[in-house]
Amino acid sequence: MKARKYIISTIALALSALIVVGVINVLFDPLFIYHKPLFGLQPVITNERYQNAGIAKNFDYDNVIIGNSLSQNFKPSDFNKGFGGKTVKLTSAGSHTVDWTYLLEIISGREEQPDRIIFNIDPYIFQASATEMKHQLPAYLYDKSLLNDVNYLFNFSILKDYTFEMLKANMDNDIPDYNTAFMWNDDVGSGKEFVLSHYERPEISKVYPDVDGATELANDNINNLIPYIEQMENTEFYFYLSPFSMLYWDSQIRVNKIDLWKNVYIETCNLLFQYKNVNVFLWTDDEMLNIMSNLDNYTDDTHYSPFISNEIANRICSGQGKLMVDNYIKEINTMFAYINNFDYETLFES
Amino acid sequence: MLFNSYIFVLLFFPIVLIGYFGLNHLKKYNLAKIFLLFASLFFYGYFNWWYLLIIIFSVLLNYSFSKTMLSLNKEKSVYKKSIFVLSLIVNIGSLFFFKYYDFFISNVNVVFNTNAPLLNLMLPLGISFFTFQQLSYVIDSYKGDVPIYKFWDYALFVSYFPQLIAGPIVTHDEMVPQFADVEKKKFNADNFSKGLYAFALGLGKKVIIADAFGLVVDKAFNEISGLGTLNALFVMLSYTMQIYFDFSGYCDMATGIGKMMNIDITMNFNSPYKAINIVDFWKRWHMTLTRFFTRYIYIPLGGNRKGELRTYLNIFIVFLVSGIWHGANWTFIIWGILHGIANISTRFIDKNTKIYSCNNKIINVVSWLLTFAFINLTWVIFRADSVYSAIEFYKQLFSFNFTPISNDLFRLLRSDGLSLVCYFIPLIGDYISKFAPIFFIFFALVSSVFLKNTNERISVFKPTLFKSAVTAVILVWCIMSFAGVSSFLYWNF
Repeated sequence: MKARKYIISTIALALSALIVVGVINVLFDPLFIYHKPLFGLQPVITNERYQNAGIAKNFDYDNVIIGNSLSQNFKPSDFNKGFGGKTVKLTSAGSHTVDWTYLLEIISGREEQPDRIIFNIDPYIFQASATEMKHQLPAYLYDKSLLNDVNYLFNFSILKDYTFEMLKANMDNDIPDYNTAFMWNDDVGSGKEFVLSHYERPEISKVYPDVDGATELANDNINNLIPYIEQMENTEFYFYLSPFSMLYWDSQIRVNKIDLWKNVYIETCNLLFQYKNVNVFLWTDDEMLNIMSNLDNYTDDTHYSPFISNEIANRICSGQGKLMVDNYIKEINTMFAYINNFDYETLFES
Repeated sequence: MLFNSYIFVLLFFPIVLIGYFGLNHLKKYNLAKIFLLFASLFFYGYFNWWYLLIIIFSVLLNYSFSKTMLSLNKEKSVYKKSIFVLSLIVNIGSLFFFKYYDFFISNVNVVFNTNAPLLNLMLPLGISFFTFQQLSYVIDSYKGDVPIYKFWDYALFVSYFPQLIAGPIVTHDEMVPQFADVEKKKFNADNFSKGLYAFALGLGKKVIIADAFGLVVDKAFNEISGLGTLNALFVMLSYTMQIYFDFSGYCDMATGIGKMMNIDITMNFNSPYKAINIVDFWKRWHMTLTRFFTRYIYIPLGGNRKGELRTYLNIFIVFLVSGIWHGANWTFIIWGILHGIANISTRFIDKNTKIYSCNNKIINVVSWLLTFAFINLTWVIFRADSVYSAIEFYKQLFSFNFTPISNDLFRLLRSDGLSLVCYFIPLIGDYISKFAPIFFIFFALVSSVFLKNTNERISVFKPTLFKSAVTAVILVWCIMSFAGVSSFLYWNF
């Protein structure tokens, strides 16, 4: 074989193989970057961080759930029922406002924008970095550049874990239920005993944290979302303040952070209430306060069981607990009065 | 930019090849060189555009020093000496500043119980390599036995992208004449085919083998406690394989890229794990570094011309400097000292017993085993983040706790590509997948100890359809594996 022939055959073979793999990935597109599933295939949704971008780009939907692990237990069907239309869930564990802006960038760039976007907000979100992600997203899936799509098209992991698995699941007719995707299964422990066994009660501190700094950080986080609230003026934005358990507030009261959080909650509402297309929810009724006080409803000090998520979804859809400009300070005061007056020792009683 | 990246393989390198050969074909030789220089700077700046300032400044300064010294008469006047000393201070000083300042200050803080602030500087990639290359030219310029090169030739010699960030440490007399040779400017299918083959082999060594072992090593060194003897042995061997396939894979790729452009890049590895003693090992491992130290440290110190004791001292100094060169950490210094002691001991034993001169097979096999064990054991301290971690690792290795090899570590050698391919192999696919890690270790060990290395292969390369298919499969397999996180081990040294 002559050298020239060797060069041509090697390059031709390599390019042909890459083109075949690329075409397979474009046609089946398991992360939905280019299109919805074709050929009557059902979507196989198994990875939030890798598939949310494609769902946001190419699926049809009216309502969107965006959030971190506190929103993972939502069933889209609950919102379909409550709001009507079709709901997609774009949550991912450990995400916060920086991650969400990537999704909002995609959503706001669509021709048809959704009717509603629902977010959880809570101390996890308020105290997260407003500039850096905790876990990097696969940027090539979220941006508009076609050049870096090579990461998607020529990638063994994509071919094995997504393209192949999507085809296999469709052939075996074993499609994971999208409605319950990413909900916590029975393997996740829960209940008072379990929660307490994983709780490290902080020592009572004499140090008072920096309220202004924390408020500024919380504002920076909310300000990450404001441009999209302004841009998508026909979309209703729903923010709900996640009902953390009283065990969480036990930890915060011991480190003198209650006034800090109260201030952050008020400032966040001040910021959000400047926009007509924003709805904020906080529940201070006895039923929700009882839920928060019963550790059997939780898997740790903050994460609640799926049935609480169902309750939250129903309340958001029905408008229960929606804060108004003239009552939000009162409601926040009620919440923090309950937190301040709660007998935390009862949480530790057997 | 990494060689093992989509942008390099699918965009940068094809454009460079087309541009370089295209301009040369139009007989725009100077323009072709300038194009290659700017492409190399782009390659370097792609990591971090601030690095560009450092390398450009370094090239300008060193070229000025050398040109001034060469333009003076051959006598070593005070003025010439001053420039020479200044150039040494600038080069070694900048290396010290970027690489060792924090290490030095943190040690001062410990010894004198002070709290001087650290700079936390980001180490410019390949600074040790391009500083050494330029030092060799500066020193030779002081001696006066080199020509004054054109600026573009000099700048290209320093920044030529295949060897820029991780060597080999090439010398001006090897490279500049090649850039000037008109015969080397035409596309040459024989050279290109050899280069393509070498590049694919190097890429495969890096992406398929070294990166897989790297996963095992990184995981184990993060959780040293509880490894036990067998796991520690497995991890130690994995690192021995990782560092060889990583660094020699990089050099094979550099060789291949150079060859495709008709540029011969100096051999840097000659099957080092075939070495039957530690002296032999250093003639085969990172050969251009050994050459640099021999030329510019060992010989100026007197080499072997000043008696036995002085020879041993000179060897020790070379290895101490080698340890320091490899990184700002006591682990590298201890590693260098250990290799220095082993080198001196081997020479002493050979001088007094002549065991290596008699070429006895049994002695050679036993000596190979001892050498390989020594290399493995010292790689542990080279890899460890701290001396404390290395001690922890040795404790595990010699704990004689024979817990079976962890499946969590073992399965890391089973890549996505392998699992996918095995799925489609009927009947025996599952077994291949299950036993692939064992085969993988066996293959890595056998190929590094018994098979021909890439330089030997391309020297007798004859293109065949089979080799073409193998090259294409390796290239595609590697490209399909690029999306994983990877970095070369040696670019920070």
